[in-house]
Amino acid sequence: MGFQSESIISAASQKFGVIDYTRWQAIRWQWYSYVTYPTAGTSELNFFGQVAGQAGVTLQDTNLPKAGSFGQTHFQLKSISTDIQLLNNDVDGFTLANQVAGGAVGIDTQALASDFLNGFVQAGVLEFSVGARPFATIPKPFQYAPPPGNPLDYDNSYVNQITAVPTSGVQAQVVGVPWATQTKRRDNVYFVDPNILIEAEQQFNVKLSYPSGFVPVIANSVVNDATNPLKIGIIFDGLLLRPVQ
Amino acid sequence: MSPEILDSLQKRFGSADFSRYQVVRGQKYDFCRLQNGATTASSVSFFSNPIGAADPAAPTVFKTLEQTNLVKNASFGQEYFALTQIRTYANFIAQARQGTAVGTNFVYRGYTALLNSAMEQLQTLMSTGVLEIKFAQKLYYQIARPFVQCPPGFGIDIQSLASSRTGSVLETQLTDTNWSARPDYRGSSVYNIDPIQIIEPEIQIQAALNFPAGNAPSFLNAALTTGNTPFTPAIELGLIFDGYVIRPSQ
Repeated sequence: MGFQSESIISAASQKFGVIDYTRWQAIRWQWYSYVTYPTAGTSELNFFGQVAGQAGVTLQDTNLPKAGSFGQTHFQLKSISTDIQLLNNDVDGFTLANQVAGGAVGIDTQALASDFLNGFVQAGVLEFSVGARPFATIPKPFQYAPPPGNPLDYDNSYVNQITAVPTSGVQAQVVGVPWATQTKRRDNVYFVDPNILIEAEQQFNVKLSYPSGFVPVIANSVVNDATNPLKIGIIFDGLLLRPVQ
Repeated sequence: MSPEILDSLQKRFGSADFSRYQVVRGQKYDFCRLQNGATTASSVSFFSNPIGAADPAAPTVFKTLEQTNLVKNASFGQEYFALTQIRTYANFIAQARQGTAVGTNFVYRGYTALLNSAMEQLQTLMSTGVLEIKFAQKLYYQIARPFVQCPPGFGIDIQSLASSRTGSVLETQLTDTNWSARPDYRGSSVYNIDPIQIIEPEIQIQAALNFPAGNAPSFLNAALTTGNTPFTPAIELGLIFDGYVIRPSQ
């Protein structure tokens, strides 16, 4: 019996429903998902697999309404961005490191710039698939798909010289405080052209992997999985298409 | 099995619809190690070894999706590819994969502590070479100094760089010196292909970076570990085709 046929549901919806499916609204929208990059490195990290409200996951981490899909809205994907977030960069710690007996041993661990120059930012591959079909495979994604302009600036107004002259085997010298970010130029954004329309309830998967081997965090004196975790994120920017109410 | 029967079977039971094609932005990329020790390279070939194969310059390093998305020797397989940009890449391999325990006072020192340092050799490398790309054995691109002409258009933004010296006599470069050589990271600087170049399925691709004026520079013992041991750093060169993958709908 066709009791629940589409035409009956449509008629009932038009008479009694709270949503008008004959008219749609498009707004600019970003879906984002942040996960912790473990200090020891990892082979694979999955994004958009959790929703806010799950254990340890807040709206700071993701705004996804449903794991692995955008729920009851369509989404027209226009760009893919990665992001790197560390709450406390402890820039002071870099200069303090030089005071450790034995000189500058260990300073690499004191600044996240080390990871930008020589760590996980220089490796990895990002895969995005809808259903089981790949739609993007991006090498070195933190560089190839940077954010559109949000990393903080840290301008170097003066250099910080700890000791005047390095003495062999006794003292060491550190000059400057390192600061590196992802590029923040609009023309560096990874535009998805032509756009990809991800339909409501369509399952998709985004993963960052390091199949050639773990890349541990170099700045492990700053990054702490429990108290100061390194969060990495994926941001989908585009148009949210939803029925008018 | 005639083509008609195959076509009929495919339409009924096939997993792809060859009457409709889908266009998505995509890259074909290949990152290769540079032979840079006692023996240096006269040429580096790209898109020759697919995923799972050994790197030509490092037989114990097997290519994964991080190095290439090529699934077949010297061709892009059963997909059309519309080439819109050529990008090149050169840099040191991530520290954890160098194969040498570099210690924790390396990033702001290791590549620049020695005279004729690894960073200087990297700069020399990026100033030379000729990139030649052939499709079906026909030359399509011949670009001198490709790291300058065809920069990656991506990278990191270094706003301030520290320098570290321990005072060891093995540090032969001046104190306080640390620098970074890298190609243009601005997206607007990439080498655009106009009109676009279509690469048909199964077309044989030959892409090589040649050094006709002499081999690539040597990085032999050009870097210094925290323990003041010179070593030869691993270098990664990359060739990236950016464009559109044209594939049958499913």
